Amino acid sequence: MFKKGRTCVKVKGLNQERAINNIVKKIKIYNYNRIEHDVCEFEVDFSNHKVLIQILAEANLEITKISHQGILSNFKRLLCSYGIIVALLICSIFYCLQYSFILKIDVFGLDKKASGEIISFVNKNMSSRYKGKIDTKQIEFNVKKNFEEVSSISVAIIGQSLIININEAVIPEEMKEGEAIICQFDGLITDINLVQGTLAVDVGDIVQKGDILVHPYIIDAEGKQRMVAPKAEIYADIWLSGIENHYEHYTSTERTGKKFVKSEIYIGKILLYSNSAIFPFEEYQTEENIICLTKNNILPLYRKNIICYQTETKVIDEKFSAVQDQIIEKARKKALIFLKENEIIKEENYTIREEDGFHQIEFVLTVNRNIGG
Amino acid sequence: MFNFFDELKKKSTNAEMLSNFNIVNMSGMLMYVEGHQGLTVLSTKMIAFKVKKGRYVVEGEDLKLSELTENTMIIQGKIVKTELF
Repeated sequence: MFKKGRTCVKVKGLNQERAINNIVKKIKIYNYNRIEHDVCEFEVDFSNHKVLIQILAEANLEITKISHQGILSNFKRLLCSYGIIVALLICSIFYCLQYSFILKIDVFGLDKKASGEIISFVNKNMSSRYKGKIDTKQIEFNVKKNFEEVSSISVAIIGQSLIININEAVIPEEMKEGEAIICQFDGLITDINLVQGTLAVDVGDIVQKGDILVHPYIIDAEGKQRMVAPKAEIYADIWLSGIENHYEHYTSTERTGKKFVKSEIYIGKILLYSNSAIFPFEEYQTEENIICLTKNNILPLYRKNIICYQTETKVIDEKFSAVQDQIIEKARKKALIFLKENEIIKEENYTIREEDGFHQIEFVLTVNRNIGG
Repeated sequence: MFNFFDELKKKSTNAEMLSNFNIVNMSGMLMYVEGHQGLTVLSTKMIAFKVKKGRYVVEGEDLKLSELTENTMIIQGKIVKTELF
């Protein structure tokens, strides 16, 4: 590719030497090649192609082919493409117009939730998104006035973004508003140590999951209710339970360890190939997995593997008295799962519920836990 | 400025006679001509041009002009014979 660009012409006519001599008096010729007696091909600089055409016309030589190469000619062709020019013009106008408006608001210095609140507040209070009409000082004033957690603020327009930089005010712990402490377990309250807030329960009360333990307010010396973040240590005996069932007569299906793999190749939903039509076991369980054989989505070719496991069904008769200790231990282990680290078990007991050929053991652990949060 | 042809001409006793044209033939494959006064024949087998006080003929195979200006040219191809009339 020639940087300046070249024009390649194929010329037909007689007495070409005279014309060539006339041409070279004005412009430079490259790669002249006489193809036939009356046909030749050569190149000139793109900037001289109009002069060349004029001289050839004066010499009565016919141009059978003309082509342009290089950046200059491509650029000129581009300039003559009115569709592209119009599109560029429209894009430029659209870009200039939309550049005068704010597209997004960014808030720095606060968490996502608080930032969202400030963004929606600024959006509501902004009369126009046109940059010229946005008063950053007014936004600063309004945000600071309406949000207590804002200590200092600066608003700036950068590009098409409204940037809001905020320094968060540090609110003392006791001034913060909070939510009530809610009971997470059923239990019997044994001890209370209130730090902040108003108690809703007393020692000896039985509480259920979801009950309010401490309200998020205090009554000050003037008798007014003031919101605070509640804090308390509330200890209660709670009960952790594990249940285990036992049937004296039941059937059990177990895999023997033998298996058979059946492979099928599909294109879409059409079966192309299968290595076996039937499973070799009388009693079995199956598992399927599908593997796509092509990496693109053009050809939906995939392989389905069906793994057939041989199973055996047994009828089991087991007396409860023979396995009672094991069942109790299983129920205890289930209850122990809910125990926290280093937690002391105050009491352990279990109950047995008996029906016809069925036993249910519920093992209960009693522990003392802080439910005050 | 250094000029290849001027430096060569300095070695001659009658340098004033050597100002008509300059031709350099490189390995019979490329010929540089300086001082031509117009083409008379252009074909793949023969290129002829006028020079001061004569006519120069280059014969060969697959001859073509890779560059041509008013008084210089570069001939490419298999150059077999050159003659000055």
